[in-house]
Amino acid sequence: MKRIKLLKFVFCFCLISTFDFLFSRAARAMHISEGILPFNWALLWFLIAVPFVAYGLYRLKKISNSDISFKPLVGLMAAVVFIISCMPIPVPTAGTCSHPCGTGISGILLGPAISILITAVALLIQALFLAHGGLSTWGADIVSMGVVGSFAGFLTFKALRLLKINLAVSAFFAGLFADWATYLATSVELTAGIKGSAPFLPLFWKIIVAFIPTQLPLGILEGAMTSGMIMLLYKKRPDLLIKMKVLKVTKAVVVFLSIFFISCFSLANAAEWPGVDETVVEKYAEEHGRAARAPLINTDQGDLLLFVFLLAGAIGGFVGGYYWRKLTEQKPK
Amino acid sequence: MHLFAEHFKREKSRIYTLDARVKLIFTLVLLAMVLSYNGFFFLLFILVASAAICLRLRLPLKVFLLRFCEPLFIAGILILLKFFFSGETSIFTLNFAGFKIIGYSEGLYEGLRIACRILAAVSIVAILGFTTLFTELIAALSWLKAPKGFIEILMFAYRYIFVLSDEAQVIYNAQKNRLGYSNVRRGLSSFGILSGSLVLKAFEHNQNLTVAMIQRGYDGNIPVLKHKPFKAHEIILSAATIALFAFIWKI
Amino acid sequence: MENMIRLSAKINSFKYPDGTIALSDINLAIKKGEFAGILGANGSGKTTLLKLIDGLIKNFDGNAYLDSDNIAKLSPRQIYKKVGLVFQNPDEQLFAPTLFEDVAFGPLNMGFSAAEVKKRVSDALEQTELLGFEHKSNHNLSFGQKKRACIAGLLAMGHEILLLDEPTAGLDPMGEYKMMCLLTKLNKECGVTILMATHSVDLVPLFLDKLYILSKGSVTRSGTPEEVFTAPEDMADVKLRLPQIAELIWRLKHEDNLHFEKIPLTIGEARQEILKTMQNANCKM
Repeated sequence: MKRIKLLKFVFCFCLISTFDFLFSRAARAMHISEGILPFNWALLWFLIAVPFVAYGLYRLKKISNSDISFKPLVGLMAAVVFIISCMPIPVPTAGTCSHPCGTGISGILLGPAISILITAVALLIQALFLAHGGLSTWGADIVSMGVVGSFAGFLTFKALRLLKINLAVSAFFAGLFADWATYLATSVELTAGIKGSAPFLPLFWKIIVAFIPTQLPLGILEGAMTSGMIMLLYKKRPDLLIKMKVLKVTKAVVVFLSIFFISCFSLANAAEWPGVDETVVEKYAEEHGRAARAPLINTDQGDLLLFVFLLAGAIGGFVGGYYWRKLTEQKPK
Repeated sequence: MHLFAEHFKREKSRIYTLDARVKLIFTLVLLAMVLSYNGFFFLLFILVASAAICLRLRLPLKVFLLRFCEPLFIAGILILLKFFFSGETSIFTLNFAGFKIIGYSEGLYEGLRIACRILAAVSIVAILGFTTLFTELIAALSWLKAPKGFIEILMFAYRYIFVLSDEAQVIYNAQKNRLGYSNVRRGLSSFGILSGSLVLKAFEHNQNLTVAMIQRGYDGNIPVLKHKPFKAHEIILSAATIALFAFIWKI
Repeated sequence: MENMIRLSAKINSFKYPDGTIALSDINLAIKKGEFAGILGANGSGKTTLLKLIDGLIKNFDGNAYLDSDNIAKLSPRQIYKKVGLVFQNPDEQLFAPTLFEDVAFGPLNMGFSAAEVKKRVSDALEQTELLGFEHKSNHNLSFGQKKRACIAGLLAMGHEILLLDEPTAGLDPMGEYKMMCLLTKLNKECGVTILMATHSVDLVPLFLDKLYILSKGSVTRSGTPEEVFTAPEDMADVKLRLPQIAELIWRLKHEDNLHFEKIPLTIGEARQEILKTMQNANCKM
């Protein structure tokens, strides 16, 4: 009797570890593979990615007007990110190799806007020729790796620098959070893409749990790597770090940081995301005897989606409004 | 890094010489069809068609395996995930060590459909990748009016991937020969140094590269040659194929 | 106007930002149609000198002239219309995905029509023996081809003066020889004035008209190869040596007391000299 129990336990363990192994393979480099997302989701992520890439291009143009060597540098850095994200590093818990994403480092060195552009370029080459990620999931991958990863890395680094924490530690956490934030964003995209009519959160947790064995250590490895890189640069070419304004924290960054943390805080407080309809309209409707019926298209996300759209709209509006004059103004020759 | 199209021996086939712009648009249209399709038939049709084309290309088997191993893994996992966790009608129930594992028929159907979609989409893009030179693709993108800055960076990145990966290989071998990867801790620090030196190399190359480019009249923009005119029969042929696919997609 | 001086530099001193003296006491004049070389050991300042002549370094004490214009006052565009510098590492100069695009980059920037660009590119490729590789990717070229491709990129722009940094470094013996033949052809047939930096003592005397020996940042000797290569000790002082054939004859002359009229630098000359000496010896016996 005891033996059977033991056998069962062993079998169960084997089953779980194979499953885990398969999952960890799937989590390689956190790209969303071609064809996973249905058309409308692929399009949505693509549309979200567009303003960020456009902003990156704008920054590129602006900087390269004053520094002619900037464009080649961005190209070279894109090649570096591509190579780094192709290099296998061993992940002990999963028993396999996985890939770092390298967006943390480009975010720290060149700023988030340029880093998004770099990620977009590296992802396109990978999608076309290495089958990491895909053409249709390009937008989603840019959002999770480029936008979320770069901003997370950059903001963490600057915030820690602001608190006067030393360079190695700041870089470590920048790499760590860039990796983990990418992992969260990828999980959201993946869940939304494959859930079909099932509710969002249970599947989301399942995917998160499935990826934990690789992503937790991978994040730490990426942090260590980023820290090692920054320290090497600091020892060998401190002039470069100064030139790229890596060590400085500018006023714009401080403002941005505070906005970011306030919005994060309010996001965390409003974890449930109940909508206006639920809290106000439904209450009165019910009081007057007209209960709501089930919605035609149920996203089960409260107003999260609305909020995302609102945020995208607001950012797009600001960017569009700010640069509106560029369309009409003549360029000074 | 022998995954780029130019490293493959080119069999004599029409598909190689086809205008890259036509190929790109064709692929994108087909991809959109695959992603927005709700069923099996069209996906299976695409899979069979692309398998036939791949057979004609006579590429080495290893290339295929490398290309498809990741999507296949993901497809397999999605089938399992869907099969066991979503749906209502159970096909079978496994009572096992106190766990109850239930397979759902809707989940299985959904999972298989997603897996088919993934494989169909991957094979379409793979054929584009196998048969098109990167430079042709860059030219096609610039014809499609992709932003100039983006294309220039794509160009630089493509060229320097090869230079830098050779240099990375040299550093990696030097580290490995001196036991730089003998345990995880050491490996990690070696890896950090390796990637850091790559960044340093990128900066150094950049300085000389810029000077070399300025010497040849670089002023911030790379001029492009004019595109070749389209060939009428290629457009007609691909439009007809797309119409055929669209017909199958409809039913 | 055959003896017109096209490039000249008189440098009192140039220091690196950290204060070490990179170049000092240099006087250099390159005539039209000349094939001159800067010979020096590693770290003697060859590359820095070339960069300075090319107008890439401006904050030095002294003057450099291109056709009687002060280089420091010329704009990059004015300099690069006439002078082209080829760096040692070809990978840092070939940036476009294919050879054709790379060579076409210069002419396109100069604003030529598409037909003219194509003609210039194919001419340049023909001169550098790269015809047929137009649509090959740059990373698939061999090292020697890459080096020639760099030169083709400048030739397509029609430069009158070429500065080359170690054009033969890293090539196999045949490649070295071919590269030097190519440069000689450009120099003699197309009238391109060439200044190249090198440390290969065996090769240069065969081809160069004039030599500058650079040691620790200053020119210690200059003149024709015959004037420069005199005795092994002088060469050892500047971390170089005589061409091997010259050293053989020098030893036969000074250590074995054989009679030679002059120290030959090439195998052909040495053969003549040895035959002459042997005939003299036979006559005496």
